[in-house]
Amino acid sequence: MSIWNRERVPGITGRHALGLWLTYRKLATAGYVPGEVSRSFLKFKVPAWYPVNFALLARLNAEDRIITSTDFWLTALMGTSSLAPGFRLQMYDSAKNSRLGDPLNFANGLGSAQLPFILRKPYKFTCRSPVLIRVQNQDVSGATNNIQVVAFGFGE
Amino acid sequence: MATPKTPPVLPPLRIPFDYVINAVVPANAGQAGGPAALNVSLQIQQDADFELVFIVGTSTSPLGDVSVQDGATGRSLMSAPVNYANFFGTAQLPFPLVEPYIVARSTAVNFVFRDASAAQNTVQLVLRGYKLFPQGAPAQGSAGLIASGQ
Repeated sequence: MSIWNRERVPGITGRHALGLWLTYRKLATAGYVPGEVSRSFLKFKVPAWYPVNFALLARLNAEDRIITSTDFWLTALMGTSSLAPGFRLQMYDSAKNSRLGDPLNFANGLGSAQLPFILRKPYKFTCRSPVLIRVQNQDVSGATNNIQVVAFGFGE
Repeated sequence: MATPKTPPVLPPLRIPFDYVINAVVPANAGQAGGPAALNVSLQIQQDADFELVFIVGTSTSPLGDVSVQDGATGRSLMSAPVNYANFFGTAQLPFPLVEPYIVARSTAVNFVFRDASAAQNTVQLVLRGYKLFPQGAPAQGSAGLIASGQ
C-alpha cells in the first residue's frame, strides 16, 4: 500500500501522509498520530511554537504561562533540561479550569524535536486563555537547571 | 441542456525540495555582553509555493536557540526563541509538522540565531518539503493557486 494513493472511501483519494510519515514508526505511524478527521482542523493553519523557560536551583518550583494570541491547537510537546535529573511538569488549562494530568517526570510527558510527543488528538486552547505550566526541578546538586518546555501546534 | 462539467481539480505535482540555511553564529551572540544575534533571511523561490513537511538541522553545539518570522506578514511563528533540540531533528529522526505548512512563493522567511555555548556555533537548518506545481501546467509555476485551492 502506498501512502500516496491510500484511500478509505473507494473513489475518493485520501490525503497524503507526508509529515505524518514517522520514519521510526514505519507502518505503525497511524497509531501514534492524529487521524485524518483530527488533522482536518489544522488545514491552512499556521504552525506556532510557544516556549517557556525556567532557570531553577535545586528542588525549586516555578510557574509560567502561555497566552495564545489566536485559537491554538496543541499538537506536540517537547522540552529540554540542562541537568540529567530533569524536572516534573504539570499543565493547567485556565479557560476550562482543568488540570491536564498529574505532575509527571518530563521524560514521560515531553519529547524533543527528533522524537516529539505527538497528541493523538490535537487539543484546542481558545484565544487568550492562559495555559499554566508548573515545573519542579528534580536536581539536588545546587547547579542551575535551565529548562525549556515547548508547546507546538497550529494557530489561526 | 446538460450542465457543463467542471474539470476535476488535480492534486498538485510535488517535487521534493530542500531550503538550506547556513549560519555561523558568533560566540554568545544575542546574550548580554555578546555580539548581536545573527539574522538570516531565506527567500522562497518564485517558481512555486513550498510545502514544508520536515524541519531538520545540525549544529556544532546544542546550546543555542532560534526564532522564525514570516517576512510576508511580519508574523512570528514563536513567542520566544526555541532551543535547537526542540526545533529541528535530523534526517533519521526529522521533526514532522503534523500538518504540512504551505509557504507562498517569493516569501522571505527570517531566522534569528542566538548562541549560549560561548564558542562559535555552525548551524545548518534545512526546511524539507515539496515544491507544488499545478499538474496541468507544471512549467507554469503555481502562482499561489495551490495554496488557495488545495
